[in-house]
Amino acid sequence: MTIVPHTNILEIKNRSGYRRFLVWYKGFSYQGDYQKIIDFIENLVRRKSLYDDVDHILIYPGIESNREKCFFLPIKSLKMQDIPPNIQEDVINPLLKKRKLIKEPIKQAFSYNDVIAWVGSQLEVYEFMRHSIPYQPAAKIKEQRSPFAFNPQTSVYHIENPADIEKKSIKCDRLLYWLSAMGSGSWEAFKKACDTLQIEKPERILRRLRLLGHIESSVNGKRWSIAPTALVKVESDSENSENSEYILCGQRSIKLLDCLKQYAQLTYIPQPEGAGPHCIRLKIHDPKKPGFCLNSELKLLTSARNPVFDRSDFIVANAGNASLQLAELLPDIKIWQEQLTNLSGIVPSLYQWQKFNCQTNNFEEWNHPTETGLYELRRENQNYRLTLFYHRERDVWLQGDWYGLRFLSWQHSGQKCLARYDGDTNRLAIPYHQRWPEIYERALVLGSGLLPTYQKSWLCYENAGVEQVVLLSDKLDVTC
Amino acid sequence: MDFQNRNLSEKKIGLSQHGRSRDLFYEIILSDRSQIQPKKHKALMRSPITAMANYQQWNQAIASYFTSGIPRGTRVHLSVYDDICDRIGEEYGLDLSANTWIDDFLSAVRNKVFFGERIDLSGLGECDAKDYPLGVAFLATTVLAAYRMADDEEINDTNYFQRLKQIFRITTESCRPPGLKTGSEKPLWQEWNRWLMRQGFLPSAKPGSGRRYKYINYPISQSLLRRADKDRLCRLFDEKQWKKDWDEMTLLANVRREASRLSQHLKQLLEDRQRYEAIAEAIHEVYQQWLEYPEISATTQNREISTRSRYLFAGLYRTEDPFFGKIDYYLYPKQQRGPQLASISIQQGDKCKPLREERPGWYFPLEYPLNASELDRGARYEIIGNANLDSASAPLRERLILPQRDFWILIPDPDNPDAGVYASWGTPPLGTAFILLCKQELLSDLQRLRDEKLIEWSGEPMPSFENSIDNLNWVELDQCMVISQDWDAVFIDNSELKDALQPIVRLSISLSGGLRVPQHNAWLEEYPPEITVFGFSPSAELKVTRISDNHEIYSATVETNQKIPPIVFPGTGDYLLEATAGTSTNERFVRILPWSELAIRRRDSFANAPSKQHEQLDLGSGYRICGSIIT
Repeated sequence: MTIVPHTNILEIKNRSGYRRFLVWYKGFSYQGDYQKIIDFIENLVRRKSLYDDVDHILIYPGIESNREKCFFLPIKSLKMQDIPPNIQEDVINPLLKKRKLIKEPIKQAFSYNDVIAWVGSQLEVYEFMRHSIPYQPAAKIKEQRSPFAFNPQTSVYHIENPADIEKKSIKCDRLLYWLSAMGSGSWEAFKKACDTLQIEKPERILRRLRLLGHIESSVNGKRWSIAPTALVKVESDSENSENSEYILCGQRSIKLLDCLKQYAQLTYIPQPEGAGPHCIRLKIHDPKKPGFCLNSELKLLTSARNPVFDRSDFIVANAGNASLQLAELLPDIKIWQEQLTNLSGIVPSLYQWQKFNCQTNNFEEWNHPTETGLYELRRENQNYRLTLFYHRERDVWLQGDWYGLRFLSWQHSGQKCLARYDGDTNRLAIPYHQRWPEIYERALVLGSGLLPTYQKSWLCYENAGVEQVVLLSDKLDVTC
Repeated sequence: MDFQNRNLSEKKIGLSQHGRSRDLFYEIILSDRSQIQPKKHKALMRSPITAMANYQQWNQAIASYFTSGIPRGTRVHLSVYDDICDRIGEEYGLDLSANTWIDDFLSAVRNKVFFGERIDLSGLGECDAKDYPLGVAFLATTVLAAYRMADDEEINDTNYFQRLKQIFRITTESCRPPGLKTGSEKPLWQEWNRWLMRQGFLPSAKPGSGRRYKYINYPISQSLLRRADKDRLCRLFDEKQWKKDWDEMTLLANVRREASRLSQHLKQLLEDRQRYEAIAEAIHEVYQQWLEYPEISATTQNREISTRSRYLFAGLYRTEDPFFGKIDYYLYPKQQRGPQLASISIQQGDKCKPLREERPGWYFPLEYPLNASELDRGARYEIIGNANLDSASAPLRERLILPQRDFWILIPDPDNPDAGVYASWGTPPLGTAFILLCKQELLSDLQRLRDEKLIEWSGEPMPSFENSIDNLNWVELDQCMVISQDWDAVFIDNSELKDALQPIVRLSISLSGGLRVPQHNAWLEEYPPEITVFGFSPSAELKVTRISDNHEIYSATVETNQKIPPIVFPGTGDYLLEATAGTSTNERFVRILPWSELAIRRRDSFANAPSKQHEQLDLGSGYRICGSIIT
């Protein structure tokens, strides 16, 4: 849109050519403060978004002259004195109603030169500026924490109030419901959901969900996907195999739980300190009930065609004794170490370094990574930290779960890794600072569906079968 | 029959195995009849069952077609014309009893809505048992009338209804068809608009101003190209011999350059910023068909002609390593409108990867990042179809095309803006910062727009392929944002760039935060979205209404461009958000769901074993674990 110089012609250009309008002025005499006129018209223009039509007004304040104070409204039309209906309705009519301000309209139609001739040099132009969207770029999301990052100094939680534990558990339940509905997503989406649900330290909750068999992450931690719903058989007092007890892992929803209640007695056990979603333990009422099918061959447990749920029949995998199976299948620690992802292309001089000290259980400033051990690297002026295990003999940088890498660090430091097992209570205790690599710990947690409790400097795992404990401690070279 | 959840291959395979499409069809009708409310029995009795069923099936197919294969948040136009009827009939496996699909369709509508010689719309204002609004097929015929208006025909009620009467084979003197009282179609359009919003789409049908245009504007606003427009476009393509891998926006920019040679109606369409994307899609469809059958007129009825393009187009999907800062761009295949073919794979390099739906409108990005050369020149990738499909009835797409472009606008994930991922998810909503990936040569144009305070960005343009010595041609502008609407007086060399950046709307409602329910355009109770009204006015009127009882729960003048204080939604249900500033309005639909409604996300298969869609941890010795399941 351009005003052709020295004319009253306005040209609006589009791709099919120019459209020409005449710009002329409608005058009004007024009384009082001209700022009130400006404010009033500006308000009309803003409210009705008339910036294309009324982008300015000409004001004659009438200070040094006897001439009446007046102002001029620009009108764009095909000929003089033609007022577009919207301008008449949205601007001129409201103006005429302001009798305290407006004395009367001037009948004559003015060109710009006519206005100059009418009022002389005292003319003031007031432009109505269109509102812009303020440029406020969001702070760029720079990852502060990796899903593998942990600070051992802040990892022990202590909540004593049962109501607080219950609240925390419910939040975690909701997170699991939401993840079950999402199916899969990015680490950022996971964090955002935790933030919305006011769950602190999302990297920890992600790890706990993996331990509990609910979720799986990609090797680089960037993506997650919920695990299929499964029943995991757990050791119980009952000798009768038909009355076996199970824990529920993977996807869940309120409807699924309602459905399962028809076939099993469900017990909701809060996780220690409310650190994860409730452990749901199932005792099957009657395995022979119609519609219920626990088929070890097909590994499927299907719900009945309940009219309420038949739109999406629930199918639950029978994962068997996953705790024992996993303990049997896991490799020993040396092979596990060789299977870790090797991060190539690390140029030590580009980063600031800290090395983990097993004695102090903390990172210490380090000039250059020359020894085997756990390192934290950071780029200058960046908060993001990366924890890697450097194996000097192989000259490789290994990426993996934080506790797993720390466990390697302990083993390479030449110190013995310990564990204590109480066969009477089936409880296994591991020194907190020697926490096992995550996948080995998962084998323990799947034995009960419960996260470990903290007992002074020990982590205690419930319902740990002697067979699992022997297998795992051998593979991890742990003295039990 | 739930069209939304079916894919074509399953249906085709199912039909070919049993060879009983008609039987299936009747099964559906019979099962639906049991759910019809008593007051609809009158309608049932007055028409033969087959006609009644045909209407319902067409109705569902049309509603499904216009809302499948497109992203949530898309503005939907019910732009029905003859080719679309062919495509719907073909792809939804409807029975063809007349000569053409369009004859079948019109006959089904006539059987349904005519009672004697009069139109009776009673009973069409509701949704059917599958939750499809019953009036869609009838509304489609009203759009067809607008489509059939001649190029030079003046838009008024007399001319419009003349066309509608031709469609219904009515020869009465009255302006409107008998029985179609003034405004009687309005509730059907309103229900269609509300239904679209409930599904997560934006409606586009609106009334006109003035007595003669008030109701006819609903169908006219839906008809994008008239029959004459399509023929004119084909002539233009013939003359220019544009045989290139252009995507919608590049084609639109080229057509606009030739606007002086086009009809008045087409010129008006090309200037219509409100329907910019829909018009681009419609013109691209004509272009695709012309590429396929250059010798045949766009409006020729020919059953041998496939109405569906054999090409898929890809956008870009950008990821950035948070630590090392490495940026990768991936091919991001876009779905075609309508039901999707299952089991098609893309050959990229030496690997063949199946395409899986990532979200409505999009397949998952492909595995390998793109190189600068592919971005520079565009690229084609072979599509491998499903051998089980009958290629005569379900034409295979042959190529996935990465169009050659000078720039790409990459916006944050609309479903999860904080994910750190940017992709070609459409035009940037007002107030949203995006990444502009462009060739160096566009920087002067962009600087011009910045100097005019139309756009702003942060920092210096950064090379996109840092490690590629011979490809410094591409740069990224970070945190780009459109900040003004005064674009009319500014002209730059690359008009396509201007078209793409110039805001389409003056006001928009942005919903962020809260806990979204995937695929449902809903939020969970206690975790509703935060609301921001973006616009070029300093303030706007915002009204929130509970749809079930039309109860206004919030009404206030809010400051634009900043989050408004949290609104308390009184319980679960559907809410309509309406923002108004001057003559600009914008609406959004928000659903608040109870936690008990949150359903488990189903995988492709009902077998509950880990699939390729699940992350799995390798245990060694050939075993893997997913959660607690070892396989």
